[in-house]
Amino acid sequence: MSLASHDARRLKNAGMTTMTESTVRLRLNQQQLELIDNSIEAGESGSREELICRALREFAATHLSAAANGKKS
Amino acid sequence: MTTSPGRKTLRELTIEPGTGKALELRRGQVLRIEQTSGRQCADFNCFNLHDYKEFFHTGRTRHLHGLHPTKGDFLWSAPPRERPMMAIIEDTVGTNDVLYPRCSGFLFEHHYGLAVHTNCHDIQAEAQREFGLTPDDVHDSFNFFMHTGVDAAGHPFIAKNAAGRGDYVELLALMDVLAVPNVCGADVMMTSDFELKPLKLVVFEGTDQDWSRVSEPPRLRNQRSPSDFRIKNIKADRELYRDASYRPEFTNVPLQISELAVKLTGKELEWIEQLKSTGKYGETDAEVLRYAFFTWWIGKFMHGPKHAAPT
Repeated sequence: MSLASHDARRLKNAGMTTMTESTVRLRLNQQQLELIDNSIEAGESGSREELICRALREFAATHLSAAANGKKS
Repeated sequence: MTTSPGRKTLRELTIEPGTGKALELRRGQVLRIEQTSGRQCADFNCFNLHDYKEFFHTGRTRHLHGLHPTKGDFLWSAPPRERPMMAIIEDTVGTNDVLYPRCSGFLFEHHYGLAVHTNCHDIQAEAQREFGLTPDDVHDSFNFFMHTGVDAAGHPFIAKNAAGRGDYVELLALMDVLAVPNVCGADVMMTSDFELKPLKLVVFEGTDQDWSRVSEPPRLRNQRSPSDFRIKNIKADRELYRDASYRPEFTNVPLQISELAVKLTGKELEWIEQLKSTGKYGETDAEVLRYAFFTWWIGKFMHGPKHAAPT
């Protein structure tokens, strides 16, 4: 977890505010980055960061709604 | 008796209980394995006729087609060759198995106290011997008409054989192969309903209609041949000894780890927090984000069967 993310969490836990923008650092090897870059070359996204955020958005849409409905995800 | 309009029959024979037969099949020929009276399992091995080191691989076939491959599926060779060797173009039952290994002499001695007993390993070995292969060359079989499953606890089981008289499977050779079917020797298991029966084998010249039933398989750089190997010759002695000149050349090693910084909005951080709270996707923000990304990518872009999702 990054420090920035940790700070945001602390604020939330203290009930002071909702989470603000933060940075998460993924540790990836060159093969994993190759997979990401291939997806960008294929036109799936404009950048590595954008692709990761798109994945999170779509993953959360599926898995959090499934969890909320009590479905297996 | 089944019919085959438009096909030329090249060979027809019956294999008796306790036996098998090694058959040379050229690319484009079709092997039919047919029930004579029903409820008989047929074990099957095949080899590249011009390079016996390329052979059918249950594991890759199981990975690509599941535990019960049937019409439309391929019989794949082992890594690093990984080519479709034969295509299943007809299957009138649909209860095949690539989960169980071949039965063996050990199995019957260990489980039943029967030290001398018909078994698929030895039957295969004896049939393959006609082409100079040894018992070490027998490999795990494709078990046609073997009705199996896996229970809720993950344990495999053998169910009652569902094949009736005249039921058959047909295999189209996609390369020249040595095809070795045998009558499964397990008469004290459920496999063939506790009775060994003959099987009929027919070899046809394939037709355009047969080829039309085969989907286009992938052709990739990693379907390798001996010309890609660093050692091209087959080791011909049994002893293992070190090559003093050996220097390791592993792929992409050393793996280089780098950090990818991803800026997330408050909303995205909330999603991560919620996902984390399920306890299923990771303990840190980075673990959850990595899990979400690769799982999303697999679901959206990966070819072939997907990895199972956690429950």
